[in-house]
Amino acid sequence: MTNTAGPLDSFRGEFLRQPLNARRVAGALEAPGCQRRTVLDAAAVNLDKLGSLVSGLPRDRQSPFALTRGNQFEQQVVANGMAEIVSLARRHLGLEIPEVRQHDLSASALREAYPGVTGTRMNELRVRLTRQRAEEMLTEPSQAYNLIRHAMTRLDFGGEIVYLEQDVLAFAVDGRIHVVEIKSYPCIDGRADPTKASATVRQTAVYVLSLQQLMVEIGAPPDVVNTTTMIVLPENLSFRPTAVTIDIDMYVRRLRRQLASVPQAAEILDGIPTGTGLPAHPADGASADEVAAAAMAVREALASLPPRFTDGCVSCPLFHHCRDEAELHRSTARLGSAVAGVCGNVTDIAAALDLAEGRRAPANASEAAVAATLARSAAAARFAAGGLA
Amino acid sequence: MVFMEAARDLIEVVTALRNANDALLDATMSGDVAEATRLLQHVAVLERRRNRLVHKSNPGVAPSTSSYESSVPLRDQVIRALQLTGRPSSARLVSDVTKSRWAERVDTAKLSYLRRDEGRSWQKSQELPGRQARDVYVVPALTYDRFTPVRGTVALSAWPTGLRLIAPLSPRVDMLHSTVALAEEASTVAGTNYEAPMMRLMARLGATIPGVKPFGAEPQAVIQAARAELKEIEETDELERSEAAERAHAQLDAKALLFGTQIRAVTSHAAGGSR
Repeated sequence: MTNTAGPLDSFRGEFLRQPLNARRVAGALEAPGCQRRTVLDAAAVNLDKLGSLVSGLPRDRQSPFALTRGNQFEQQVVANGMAEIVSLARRHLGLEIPEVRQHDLSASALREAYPGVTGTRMNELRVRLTRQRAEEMLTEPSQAYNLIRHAMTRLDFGGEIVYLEQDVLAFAVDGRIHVVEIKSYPCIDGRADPTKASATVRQTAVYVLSLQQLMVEIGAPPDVVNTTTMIVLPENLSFRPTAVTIDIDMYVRRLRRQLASVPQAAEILDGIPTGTGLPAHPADGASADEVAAAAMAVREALASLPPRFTDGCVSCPLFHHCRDEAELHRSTARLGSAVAGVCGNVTDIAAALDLAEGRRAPANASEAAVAATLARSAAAARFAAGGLA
Repeated sequence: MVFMEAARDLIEVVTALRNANDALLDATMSGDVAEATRLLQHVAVLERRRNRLVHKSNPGVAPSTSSYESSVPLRDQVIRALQLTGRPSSARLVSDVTKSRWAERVDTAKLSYLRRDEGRSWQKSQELPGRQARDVYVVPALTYDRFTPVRGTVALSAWPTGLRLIAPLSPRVDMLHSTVALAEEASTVAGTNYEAPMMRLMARLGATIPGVKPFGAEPQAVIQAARAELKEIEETDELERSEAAERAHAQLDAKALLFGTQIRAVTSHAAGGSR
């Protein structure tokens, strides 16, 4: 499990570390096949700091007002014995009336019972308690808790232990565990912002996967953890909670495949020159020269890690850097995933244009296929332009 | 002599205040509404003047609280709200109830201080035999397995132990009981200024009970729905709570029975942190 930690740690060197969370693991789904991102994630590099250092732009932070609103909504939803969750889980997850046994595993709640336990020890304690509660669900379902607030599970991401905190776990006595996620972006006329909704789905998939792994650990079938999850959102422009259920099985399976390929991060590192690593992050009061030197060192280190630039990259903190790089190399990836897909293994924009205009003969069968598609498109574009003129 | 002058002013104001208060008493007794209203304002003006004079000559005297804050002490606010809900309540519910029923603000941030003060006060009353113990203390609700305080949930010491323990079903059971109590209270304050906010609070809580419509539910409908749900879960909850209460009485001393098991340094073994 820790055999990858060595080279990855030395790659990160003195650069700032940031423990992984569900959101970041979900990022692995957004950038499939990106070796650069995989290595940086597995090495637990602080991506926000890295991104703003290398691009010279401050990273957009979530507005404090949005954060406050999110917290207020979550507080309201779980207030009074999770009254709103109880009501929504009965309606959407089919929980029975007596299935309201509840338990709070939040760090702040456990601090009352376990004073002085903090940090990783608190996380481990919560993981252990979550495991016990899950075992109770399997051995004595009618005595087990039905709603667990802030359960915590672990996930192995390329040797890095990620602690994941689920908003609520809902357990039906007939043997189903559902993940409930509380978000504060509005659900207007039954529809939520698709970008935000898909981010939530990917994040929730990480929770489901780690819970399924927990089930396997305690010797239960993983499908006890139902892939149908409940997302709680404010209804329209009010603060009243509403819920939608989504089956995220596809995302969970995709994530599982991707996680299985993560340990290869060490192999990627094997392929790059030894001694390649990130510099120390410049101190707060560092001069412009020092910052520039650090940014240059970061660029050199990143250059040895092959990126895969796609449409999903927009949410990555390194987006600006990778985009500029794609532009510099005149890569077809810069034009979007659709164009890059059409161009196949012709990755250079100039080469693709030459093929389209017939200035260069295709070198092999795959290039011939690309050339035919591009030539047809070029003819259509000429016709359209001519027709308009 | 400035000091003498200030003292004379103060005596004058206090005398005027006493007269005004006497007159106010007479006006109220005789039912002269207009006169009582005028005198009430006059008294308020005189009181402010008196306070200014006292502060000028003795800057050390603590200023009275701002008129925007409630004059009811936090402790009394909490006890009053808990007597109304009748069950262990979150700080949030205490604050909501106080706002709806008495139109006052509760400073929930100070609740943890209150809890600590209550603990100290109780301790003193035990140590000094001459000291009168209070009738009731604001205590934390306790978990039913380890008897540790439940975060942000308060109860009254006068309640039976079982009621102060939170078993798995208790959060829901207590919420339903509180909703019934609030619905009954909403009916009794009908026709007053407090009716509308009480109805809103009751309807908000009631909306999560099966069979209650989401907006504008009537108190009677909410009470019936809550009792119907209670019928299914209350028996188990009472059993779990009373068993836990028996264990608590067998294991805990008087203080822990009210304020929870003593906070102690937890070893890494007990916390399960080191491996």
